Amino acid sequence: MSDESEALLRVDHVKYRKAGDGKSPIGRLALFTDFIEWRDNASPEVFTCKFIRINGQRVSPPHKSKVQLQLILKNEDQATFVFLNPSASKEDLVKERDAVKEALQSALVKHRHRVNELAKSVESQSKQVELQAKQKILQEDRNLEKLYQNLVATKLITPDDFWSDYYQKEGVSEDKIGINGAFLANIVQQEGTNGVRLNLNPEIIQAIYSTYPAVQKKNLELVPHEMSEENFWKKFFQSHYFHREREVLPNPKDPFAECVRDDEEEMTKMTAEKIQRKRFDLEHIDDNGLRDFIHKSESQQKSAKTTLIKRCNYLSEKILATSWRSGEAAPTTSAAANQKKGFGVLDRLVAETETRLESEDLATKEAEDEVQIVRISSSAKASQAKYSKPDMTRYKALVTDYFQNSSVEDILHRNEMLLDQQEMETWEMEEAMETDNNEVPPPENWCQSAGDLAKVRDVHSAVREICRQFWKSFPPIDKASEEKLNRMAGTLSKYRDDIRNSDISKENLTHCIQMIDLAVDKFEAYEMKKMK
Amino acid sequence: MQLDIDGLKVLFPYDYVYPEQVLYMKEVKKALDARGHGLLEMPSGTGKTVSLLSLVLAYMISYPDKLDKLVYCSRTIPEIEKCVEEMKVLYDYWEKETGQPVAKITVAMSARKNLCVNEPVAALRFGNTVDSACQKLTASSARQKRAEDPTLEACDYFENFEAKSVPMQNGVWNLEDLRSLGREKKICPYFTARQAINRAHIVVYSYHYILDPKIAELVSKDFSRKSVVVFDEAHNIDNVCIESMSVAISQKNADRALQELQSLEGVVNRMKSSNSEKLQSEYDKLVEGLKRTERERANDERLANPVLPDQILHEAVPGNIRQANHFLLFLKRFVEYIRHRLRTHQVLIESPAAFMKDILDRMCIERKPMRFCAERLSNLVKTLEITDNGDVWALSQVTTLCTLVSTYSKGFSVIVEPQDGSQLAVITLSCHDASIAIRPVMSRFQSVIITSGTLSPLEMYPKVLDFDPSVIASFTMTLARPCLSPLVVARGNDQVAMTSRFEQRADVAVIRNYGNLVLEMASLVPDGMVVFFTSYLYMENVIGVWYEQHIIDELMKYKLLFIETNDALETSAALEKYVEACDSGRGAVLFSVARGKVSEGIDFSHHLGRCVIMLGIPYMYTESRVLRARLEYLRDQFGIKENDFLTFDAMRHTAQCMGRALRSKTDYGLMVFADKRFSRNDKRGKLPRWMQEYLEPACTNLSIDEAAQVARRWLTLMAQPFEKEHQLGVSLLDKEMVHDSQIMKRFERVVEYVD
Repeated sequence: MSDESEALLRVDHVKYRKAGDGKSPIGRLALFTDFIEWRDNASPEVFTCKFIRINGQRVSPPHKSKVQLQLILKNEDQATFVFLNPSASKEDLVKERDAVKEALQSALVKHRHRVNELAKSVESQSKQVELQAKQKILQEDRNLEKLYQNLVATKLITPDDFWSDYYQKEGVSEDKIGINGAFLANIVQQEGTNGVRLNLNPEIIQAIYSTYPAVQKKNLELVPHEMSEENFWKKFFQSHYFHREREVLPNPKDPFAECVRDDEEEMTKMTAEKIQRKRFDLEHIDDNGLRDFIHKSESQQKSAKTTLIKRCNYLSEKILATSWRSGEAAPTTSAAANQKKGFGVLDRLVAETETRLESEDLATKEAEDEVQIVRISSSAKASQAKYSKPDMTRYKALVTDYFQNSSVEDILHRNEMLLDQQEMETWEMEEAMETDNNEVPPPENWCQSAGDLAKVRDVHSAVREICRQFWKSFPPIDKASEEKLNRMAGTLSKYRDDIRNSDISKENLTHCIQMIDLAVDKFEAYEMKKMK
Repeated sequence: MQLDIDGLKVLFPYDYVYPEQVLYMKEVKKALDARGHGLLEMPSGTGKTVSLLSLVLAYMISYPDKLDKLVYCSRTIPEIEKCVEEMKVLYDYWEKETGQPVAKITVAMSARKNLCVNEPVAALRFGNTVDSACQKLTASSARQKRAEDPTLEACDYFENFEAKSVPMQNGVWNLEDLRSLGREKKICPYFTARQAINRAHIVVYSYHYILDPKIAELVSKDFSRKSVVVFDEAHNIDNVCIESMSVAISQKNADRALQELQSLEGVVNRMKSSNSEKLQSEYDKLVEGLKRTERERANDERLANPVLPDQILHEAVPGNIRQANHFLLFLKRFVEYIRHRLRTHQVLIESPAAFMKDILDRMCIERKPMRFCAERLSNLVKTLEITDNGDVWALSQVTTLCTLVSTYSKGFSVIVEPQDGSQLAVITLSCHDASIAIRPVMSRFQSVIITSGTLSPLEMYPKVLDFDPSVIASFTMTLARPCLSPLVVARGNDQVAMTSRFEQRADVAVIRNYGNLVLEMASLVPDGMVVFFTSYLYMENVIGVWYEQHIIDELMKYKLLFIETNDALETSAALEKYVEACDSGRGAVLFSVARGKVSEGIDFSHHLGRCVIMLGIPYMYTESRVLRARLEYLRDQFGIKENDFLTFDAMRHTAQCMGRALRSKTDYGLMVFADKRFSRNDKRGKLPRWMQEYLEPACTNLSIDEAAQVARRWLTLMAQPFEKEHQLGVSLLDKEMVHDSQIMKRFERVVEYVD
């Protein structure tokens, strides 16, 4: 069924106890990433069980003579394995069994995690994120929102065309939101008849998960196989995570008892880690060799409040750590935290302050502005057209062809000849500036009301946007851009008709119509040429 | 730029200078001219290190016959390193101006853990472990053994150092430079530095190398008389002195000493049968006198005799402890006596004389052999070729006590505290007189400058250190904008007085008000904020109450929270995370303790500390017997009133905590004194001048709301851009201004002399 080498763990001499009659055969038990398999040594009999079917596992109590492991399946069935390695003592067998149990448990947890992830992505989560991002862009930029209403809502251009310039999928922005420090305190509490009700929402749960990965692990492990989601959170609110002052006695029943130990381990690991910034390492800065002897030997007594203080520190440390992590689901805390930090400037600043001298302020430095280059991923800036290599050659061929086929007069004539949308834009701008400076009398003279003015502005920006889209794909280099060009040309002439019929006075539209005419002429000339 | 300080040409490595710096240099020069001592309070962040270095270097170059060495003592490694870096800047400037390099050696010196480059040893990280690992490899007995058996491990760096020790070149040698020199030439940086400091013109190291008699005798013995010793950040110098002369032995350590004694006995017996001539030669040497006949080498040093140089004994070791086994018997009796004393049920405070009488009566131990105890032990340990100091450290504590108690009759007392709950019984030989440790330094070197940002009230130091400075001055801070804003918050919004008075501090209303204050400030202060508590115990209680009152949860809404613990490692981790949180813009609060390690050694400059809150007045724990004994002594000997000393100590620690936030003139920080007693003049008047002057009379008795209002207004003001031009002429001078007597006249008030 599958390659032997893929197995996570393999144990020989395992008896698969079947219910009912007959002697149970002895075989080999193997654990894979998403199923468990047992093969009979003598016969070709195979038992496989997908993890999805497994509900949990049980082990035989230590005083029993047989060393067994039982899988509890979804359909209430059980599969029992007896460990019978003849060459091993009972302790060894127990050890062997526990190894299987541990491995199976972690494999199960991983598997469930994967399944959950999968389920989530099926829910087309990414789509949602995109939608949200787009909404945010529109909210932040009023002009863009107007434009969107004028163009997309009226179906002049398609949303895809519109967003092609304004939204980029890839590229990480650094404005990742961290976790609110008081996410636990912010949980809404209601006084119910039978005590307190706490309202959880997905954000809070996410915050808890990213702060305490151990809780997420437990959740995957236990819910819904051993307890309900509700029960799980009930237990959580009784645990030391919520009541940081509580001393927790390792009660095996409590699902979070194990977490206490894990957390404590992590705390000691955190303190054992070397301090990166020497300036703040108390061990390092002290230079009295004698005191070491005296201090180390006298052990300080622990007070009751130490736990609370430790946990407060731990919580803050974890919250801080979450904001460094990039989105991956299962971060290995310390390793990730060590090589952290996209903030290049920050690291430099740290290095600078570490070596800063007291009298540095006196030195005359060239005032170097602290500039951090942040990628503005979602700004309204249009992307520069970038051509791939084959596109580039094609484009070049087109242009040379154009030059060869046109006379010098054609080229020099400005209204006729615009090669690139950039030129077009500069020209447009010059034009606009001229308009501003000379020709047009102050707005109150040519427009009656603010409403009219806004309308004119809308029309202008809409025309500008469509023209931009048009010129961007002109001359077309491949099928897609040609299609777009056709589409845009159609839109332009349609829009020209629209505005001619609108109630805005003609003199305020001459420039728009000029722009459209120019584009349409160009398009027609192109069509003609293509026909030839 | 070139400055003219009362006729001395001083090269100052920057184009601008603060007026305080010019005036400070003048005062330092006065002290050097008078060949006397100085006590100078100069606000932190006004560049006192560089002014001191510039002046002393110029002085040494101009008058080589008057002054030939600068010993600069600082508290922490970063401070030491920064001082040496300043020196580098100064060297470069001298070379640029005069065209030739400075013909002086500047060397930094530190413990092995900071200098060792032998990877496996250096990786041990902690001071004592690195020391013993090093001694195991470099002690002469270990090296002798290796001569017979070359397979034994050796430290190549040390062997190379021994084989070809090159004298230090002129230049500046920081710790890192020493390490890279060591790696490059494969010689031991630690011993190179140890050797170099005797020849060097400028030595930068920590206090203990000159103050603690156990170390000073080994390290700083050969320094020239014509030296100037500078203690920077010296506001705590009396405590350092006392600490270096005090010994405490707990029940546990006494037991351990006995065990060590037993194992020593075993070693002696073994040696007797195998190598008896060694013990014999030791005996012979001791007959000749304790004065070492051969010059001991640095790698064999243990702790020196705690008794001071002028009392160094020239006589022979008394007969009854000359034999190794006799000495061990003697020690055994002494340890047993200590253990006997620890078994008592009552607290006992007695003078060393009474202690000596008692020990004579009970154990027939006389004074004379006791005085030789420490020396004799280190001799024996050497003969027995024990290379790990850790094997005998409890015993060496005992012998230190033995020697000290028999040598000094004044200024010390013996305090026996019985077991009390989890507190082990402990016997303390407590030194009350800071002048005992510092007197040899004061008398041996021609000038000693004690300086810090917070020395007020200045008149206390000459008293407790028992010296007569020729210059005592306090400087204020010239500021172009009020970048420090001290506020005294005396009551909550409910008008309940805020105070950490013992009777009231456990009051829930007081604690809640403190919580409200912290919350209010956290909500309006940007970036980092540091809150100091009066003691660790009080902090724990307050945090417990705040947690119940949900103040901690509220606080977490504004900022992340980090708390100092009494474990240094944990605290360092929390501290680093705090800095990270501030750097990333998240903002954080640090809860810390006055007198704690954080308040002593860590700077919270700029965004790391925009606000410091002192909750209460950090008085010492007055029930402590050690403190009580010291207070009595101060009253009887120096006529210092109990209350005066306690207030002085509390206020200097307050100032110290507050000063953490303001590290330069471009920095700014809010200082909140949260105790109604701060509004009284007898407390406020003991703050450093530079803090007092910016404490407006209107801000001496605020409620939380009023303080928040003031803070809000002030913070927006401070957030405006601040350029060098704003400071020029007001708090910063260029070349022309310095030589313009008209302008300099403006700053007359900056320096204030204390008689």
